[in-house]
Amino acid sequence: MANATEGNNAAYTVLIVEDDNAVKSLIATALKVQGYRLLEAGTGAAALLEATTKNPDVVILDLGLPDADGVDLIRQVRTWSRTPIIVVSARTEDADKVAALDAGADDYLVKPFSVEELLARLRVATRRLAADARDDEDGPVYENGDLRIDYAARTATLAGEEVHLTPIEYKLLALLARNTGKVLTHNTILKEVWGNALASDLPSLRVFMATLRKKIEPDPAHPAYIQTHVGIGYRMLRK
Amino acid sequence: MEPTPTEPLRPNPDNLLQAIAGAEACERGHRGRLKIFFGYAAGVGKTYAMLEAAHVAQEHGRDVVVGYIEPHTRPDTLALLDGLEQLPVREIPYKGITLREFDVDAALARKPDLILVDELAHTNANGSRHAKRYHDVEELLYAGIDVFTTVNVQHLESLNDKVSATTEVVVQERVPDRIFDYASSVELVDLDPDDLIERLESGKIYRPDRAETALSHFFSAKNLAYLRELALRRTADRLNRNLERGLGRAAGDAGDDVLVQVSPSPGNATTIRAAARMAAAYRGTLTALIVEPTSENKLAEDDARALHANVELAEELGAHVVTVYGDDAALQIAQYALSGTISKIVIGSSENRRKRALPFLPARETVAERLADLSCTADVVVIADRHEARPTSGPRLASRFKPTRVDLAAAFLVLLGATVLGLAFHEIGLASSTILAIYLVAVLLGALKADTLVYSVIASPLAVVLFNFFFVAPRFTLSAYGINYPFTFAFLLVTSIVVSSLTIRTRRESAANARKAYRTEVLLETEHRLQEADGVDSILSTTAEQVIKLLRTTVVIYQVAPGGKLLDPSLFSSGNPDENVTMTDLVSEGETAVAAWVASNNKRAGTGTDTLMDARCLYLPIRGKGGVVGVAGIVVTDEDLDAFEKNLLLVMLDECGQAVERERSTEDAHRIRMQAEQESLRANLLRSISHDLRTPLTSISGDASILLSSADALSDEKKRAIYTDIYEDALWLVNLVENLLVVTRLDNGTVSLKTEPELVEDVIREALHHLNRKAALHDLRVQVEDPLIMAQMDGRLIMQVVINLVNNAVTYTPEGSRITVSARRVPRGKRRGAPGLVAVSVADDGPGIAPSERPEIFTMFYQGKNVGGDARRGMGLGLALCKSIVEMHGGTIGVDALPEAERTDPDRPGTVITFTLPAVEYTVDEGTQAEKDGEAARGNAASEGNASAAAKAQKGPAAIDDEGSPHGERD
Repeated sequence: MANATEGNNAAYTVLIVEDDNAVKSLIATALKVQGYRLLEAGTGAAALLEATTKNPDVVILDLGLPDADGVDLIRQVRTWSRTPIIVVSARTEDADKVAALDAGADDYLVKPFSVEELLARLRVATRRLAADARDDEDGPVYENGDLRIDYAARTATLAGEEVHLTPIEYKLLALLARNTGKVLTHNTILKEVWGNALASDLPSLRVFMATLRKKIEPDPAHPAYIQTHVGIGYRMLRK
Repeated sequence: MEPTPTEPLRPNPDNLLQAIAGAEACERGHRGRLKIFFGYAAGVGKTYAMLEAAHVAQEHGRDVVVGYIEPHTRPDTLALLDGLEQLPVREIPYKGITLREFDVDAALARKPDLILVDELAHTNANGSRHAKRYHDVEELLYAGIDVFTTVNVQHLESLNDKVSATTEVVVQERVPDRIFDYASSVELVDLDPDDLIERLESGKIYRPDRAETALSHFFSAKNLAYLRELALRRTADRLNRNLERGLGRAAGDAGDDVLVQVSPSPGNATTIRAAARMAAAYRGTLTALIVEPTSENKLAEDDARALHANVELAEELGAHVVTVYGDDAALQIAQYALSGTISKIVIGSSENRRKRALPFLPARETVAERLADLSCTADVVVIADRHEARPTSGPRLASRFKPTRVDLAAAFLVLLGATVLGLAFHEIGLASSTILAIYLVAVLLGALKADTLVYSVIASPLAVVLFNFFFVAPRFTLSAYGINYPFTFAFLLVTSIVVSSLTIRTRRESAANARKAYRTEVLLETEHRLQEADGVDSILSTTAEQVIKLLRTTVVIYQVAPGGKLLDPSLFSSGNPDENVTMTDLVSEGETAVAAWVASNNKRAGTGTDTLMDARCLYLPIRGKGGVVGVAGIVVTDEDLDAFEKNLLLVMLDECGQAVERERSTEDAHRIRMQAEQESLRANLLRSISHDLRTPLTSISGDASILLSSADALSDEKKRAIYTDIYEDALWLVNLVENLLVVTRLDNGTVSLKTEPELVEDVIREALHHLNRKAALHDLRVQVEDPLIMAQMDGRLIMQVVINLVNNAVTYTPEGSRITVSARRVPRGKRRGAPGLVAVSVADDGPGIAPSERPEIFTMFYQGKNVGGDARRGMGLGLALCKSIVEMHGGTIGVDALPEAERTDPDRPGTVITFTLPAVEYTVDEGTQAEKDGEAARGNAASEGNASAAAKAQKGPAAIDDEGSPHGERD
């Protein structure tokens, strides 16, 4: 099965920004086996240079760089690029993850992580690129597996059958769909859907998310579309 | 009455030593020492003496600064300023001229050992922090700075009247006696009056043109001699008082306690001062009694202000201020004096004379006579206060006669009724005397209901007129014969006035009592509620609510952190529209600064006080034993608080301070215990960790070295086994690291606990993604009663709890055992309406735990006996961590056997570990839709995800499931 994807992966260039050589070589080895093309940088400055000149498809970024704060780097890159950024960090506090995600990162991984987990996240990112190339997610219709959203009509269907959504549920679904593959923090979601980021609205968010899942997930106990990141937020997965 | 000691009392040396030691400890601790250079008139050389003393102090190596010296000081005195550091003065523009004032902030910032501040009695310019310079000095002393200052005898509060009486010069600037008496030392600067006059004439004190006026007025030889005598006597007096403080008051030697009535009358201030002098002389306490009339009528504004000023004066002179309610001042005074230990009652001559009830009546007996009548045993002293008796306040009397609608209606109705009844009686032939009785009864009945005396004045003559008109022959005319008419009229009028004034008085007294009872009730309730309050915030908000109940004013409360730092304010609005304040005004920078001053100086400030009086609120410190724990700001509306309210308020704030202090010491104790626990946790952890890390590391490095050196010699099957071992050991290390991270987070105490409402099911499912690989070999189920159950938690930590509990179940049960993770809502305790709990259980049908061992399993490093092949893996950290985490969330954790009905094998009792978390009740704001969904969901709530859950868990820790199967670590 790994071989099946190898050919496609060659189309993607991944920039690895990591100052620890052992981890960098581990990631590089794992990615090479999968057929990705690689760029490497050990410092924030080098990373910026590589990102601007070589235009990688995906960036894997270690937050703890010797010369720069990873979160600032994300912000800088986001000023001119939508390139998916996967953060790899030894920082375990949720606040650090949320800060990175709010700055514009797409995903995060905490060290120690397993190689297959990293590869899975990379696939999420490249799929998003493929979907972007195919039809822009901002287009009038969104399709993901059995799920189909018609942004113009503000309706969603699952395997052809219309799903009855409340206005808030629809807003939630549309927001997650437009950001498929990206982890959205609670704050971001509250701001976009409720119009403010009051912690007091968090229980409502949880309830609406639960009812939304009930409607679109074939097996709500094992969500296929919307993934929960405890303490962080939610993410729409591409099937 | 007075005990006559058989021998003169001598100061008990022990007491003296104690008093001195106490005073020194107090001074050494943080208070500065005050030295006063005391003179009897300007020009005796106080400032000169002070500067000389400053030079001596500086030579002794002390850090001396001149804070302020009056600019009109004599040249030879000013010459002494050479060699002393001078603080710049503060310049305040005032009506085109510039006023020079002592800069207390600069002094506090400079913080010398000793500071010189001339003219203690000076009144500061408007816009200064304090009204009086002695307030500045007190603040310096409080900040631990020693102060040298100067003052003249005529500025002492208690001597003020005497000085003005003799010299006929009214001195406006006065210093309370306590400052003088409690100064660390007083140096009398004396000069013969003749020498002083000579100095004056030679122009050394005032410019020649002014010297003449001064000579003829204040500086007459007679005045100077008198002032000098006063100064000498007062200095000697002070020494006596200080000596007596060392004596202490023996039990049988109670001094004569003095009581003085505080009233708005202009002579009252004199009376109060006299009483204070007397109390000091007799070594007794001073009680200032306010007799508040029971009528609802407020005092006229002028009177209220005068009363307030007199109350402040009494407080300043060290009096204990008490309010009583009643219309008869003499009776109230007598009752108070009888109930206490009062032996002297001081009354001003203008107060003594009581106003006549009506102009033509003879003068009533005086208060002193009334007191004697009331068999009051205390001595009554009447002080000539040279003021006329206070004129009866107009509005009060007028209001007694102002008709109200109720009165008019009552008069109309009773007279109508009486007339109708009278006509009926007349018809059946009853005598007119009976009919008169009907009118009498009717008028009296009305008097019981009337609000004011006006009713009687209207109803009585009307009744007579009506009676005359309808029933006295010739009927239906107003003419009458005989001498009965005027008598009847007088008789009716008097009776009716007596009855209505009696009922009115009773009603007013009961209203006043009710008011007082209400306030006392509030106080009792405060005490009760404070005991129930939990946490400092709750104590403060309870206090604020009670203060609002008492005063109906908006309250701002600042908490003061143990280090003295002012925390953010909490506003408690009374909802009283009269206050006319905007909430943002109340917590503006300026207001906060006043509160901060109160917090650091432990004194009241703001409106109604002498410090920072431009503030919008009155700020009072909330004191605990160890210092200020909070500051309460109270919006004072147009009228000042009365003494009774003020006392209650202070008592409430004291209660609050004590409660906060109690709470804090409990919190401290708790924190210390937590710290100790964490210390031991860490120590044990470090001890066991080396072993627990070494084991898997040995296997990893050993296996890796085998592969490096002799990979070729190994069969593929053997190699695969080694790879698997390495991988599993590494995963085990990952889990260990997770637990260690949790320990480091716990190390920070509760601070790092970031709780949010989380869906319990989400957290459980997420946790199941991170299980031990062995979990795949067990039958894993999830049963969540309602997918919308939410609990307040730190999601990461609770995930770790679930992971540890399930891993524990996996470790201690044979393969294929059933493990069920379930969550349900449970009520908390017995109280209805209390927020509920969420109970999460991890149940297995394994061999179970013997009841005797159950309490042990949550202790650190405990390991079960019947462990399988993975025995080396248990360091017993997991369950202890679970306990800590759950308890930090305010929940509990416990262990039990499976209920019989759920056991799969009667010989295996199984184990259920259940922990609780605070539930989150939520309301959804989008119609009833969520509710319906919730119901629909309940249908398939108990999801039977056993097979797929097991399949998921197989994918190893933290595997992200976006594809059919994980990548080839296995086949």
